[in-house]
Amino acid sequence: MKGIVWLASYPKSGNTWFRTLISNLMSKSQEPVDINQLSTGGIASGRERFDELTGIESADLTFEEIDQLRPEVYAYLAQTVKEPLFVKVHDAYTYLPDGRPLLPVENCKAIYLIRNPLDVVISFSHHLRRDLDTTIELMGNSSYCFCAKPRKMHNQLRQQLLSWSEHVESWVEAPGLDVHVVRYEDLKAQTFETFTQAINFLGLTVGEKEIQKAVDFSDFKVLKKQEEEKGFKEKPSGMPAFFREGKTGGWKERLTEEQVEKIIDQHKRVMERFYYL
Amino acid sequence: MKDNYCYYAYGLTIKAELPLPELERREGQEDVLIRYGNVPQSIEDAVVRMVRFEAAPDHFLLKVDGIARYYVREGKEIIIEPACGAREEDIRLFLLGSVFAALMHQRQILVMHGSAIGVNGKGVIFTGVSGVGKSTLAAALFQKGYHILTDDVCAVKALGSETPQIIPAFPRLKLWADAAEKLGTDIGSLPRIREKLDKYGLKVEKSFQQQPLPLKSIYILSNRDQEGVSITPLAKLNKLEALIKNTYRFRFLEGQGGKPLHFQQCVEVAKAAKIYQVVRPKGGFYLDELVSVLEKELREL
Repeated sequence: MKGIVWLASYPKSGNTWFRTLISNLMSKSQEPVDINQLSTGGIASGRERFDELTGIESADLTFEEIDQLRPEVYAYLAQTVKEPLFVKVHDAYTYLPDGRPLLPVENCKAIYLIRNPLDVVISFSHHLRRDLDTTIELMGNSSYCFCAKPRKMHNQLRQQLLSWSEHVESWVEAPGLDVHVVRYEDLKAQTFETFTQAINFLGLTVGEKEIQKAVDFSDFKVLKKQEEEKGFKEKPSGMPAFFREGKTGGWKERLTEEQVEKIIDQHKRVMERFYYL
Repeated sequence: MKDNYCYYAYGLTIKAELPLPELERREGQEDVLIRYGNVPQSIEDAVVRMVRFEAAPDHFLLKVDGIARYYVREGKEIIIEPACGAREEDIRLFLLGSVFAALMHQRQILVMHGSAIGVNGKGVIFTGVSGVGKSTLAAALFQKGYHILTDDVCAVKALGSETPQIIPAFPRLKLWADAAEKLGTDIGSLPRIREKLDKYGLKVEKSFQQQPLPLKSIYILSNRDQEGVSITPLAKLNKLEALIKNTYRFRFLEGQGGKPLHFQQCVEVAKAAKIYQVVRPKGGFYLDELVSVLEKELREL
């Protein structure tokens, strides 16, 4: 295939891990790819690409003006790239006031990575350096955004995340978009099989050997070791490590009963739908 | 044509049909004419057509929705067709940014994405990706008494003189509210650059460097999760790539056939200037640390 493959997820749901899998799959090297040089096609909310393709400085535009142009930026990319371009995206699948989707569907496919919100809360609270209760609030907040403070220049474009449930549903129900859902827990438990299914969905022709190599080179221990040795440029400041535990079910030890109840209360329907309840 | 305003910026005498209060007034024989007029929706034989700009040799078109369409011709003329109800300050903002950059490209001037200051008769550029803090740093150094050459679009005459020269732009810096606050600048007294943005124009007339200065060093700003500010000279091999990467609107060149010349310009700059990678910790300004580390470097220029 050509065009864009959206690697879409709510934050802390395995997006970076999936990108290392893809990077290792594409790499010809017999060494794991450097986590600081992942070869995937950046993040949808990156400023550089927007400025470069529009010819307009996004720093001089309002959030709304930027959003008006974003669909065209991606449409241009999707039409012109000669190989599939894997673009990470944390934006929810939203629509502009005129009804156009922010992220086009033509020449695009999406892998949606989903992770048990009970585990996302813990990882996200580390990421944001906020306490668990605040993080739970944010994950239930329909107007939650990244990079949306009007008084400063953010290094990325504004991203509307919506609530966790809304984020999931916005993507898996995006009209006309070919979406394949990958559960973090499945990717963890059966990496080879789960990754192979994703590869098949994309219609990439790669052998089992190459997939196995990508799986081995993207093992959590490999990533963690690389980070310990060389650091990881995508790690937010103040966080001891980006590749922290990478485990599933950590919430059982970390969340109080009330916290668990609150999350389930907020996200019950979607959690049930994806077998988290 | 109506009464003209006459200005001087980027080494050019500019006659304009609209007032450009950001620029310095100076009479002279015009190099560039800026006027209102009809601008086509498209360039017929465009070599590149991107999302909002098109280019062919000596022709360039930029479309900013709700504000204006701009047409740049032969490095000599800019035609503006404002959108209905567009505000003048908005029209000027994109004119003085991307559109002037296209004008420079057509005039075969190297355009770097960065701010520039003067130190003891030598020119220094701070470049790096959008949002990395180029303007804030320039403003901090302006407060320390350094001379300002430009805020964001940095013109370098790389060929035809003994050593590459930074050409002064115009005496204004753009600052976001939080950066202004950090610098202790009262935004209450500053004009917003656009009504809808919390971003302000800071005039730096008295500290404006009027004459071109030889380009001595380029500092590429970036941030990373680390302790303290670090400065590392770039190896010779990496200099060209860094210059190409930090060229302002590199894509504008594609349609205008300027790439071989641009490469030659970068080669000259790489020969003449030192280039450093400056890394500061993520998640804050670290402005005092950055300024103090850089000042040590600047003293040795």
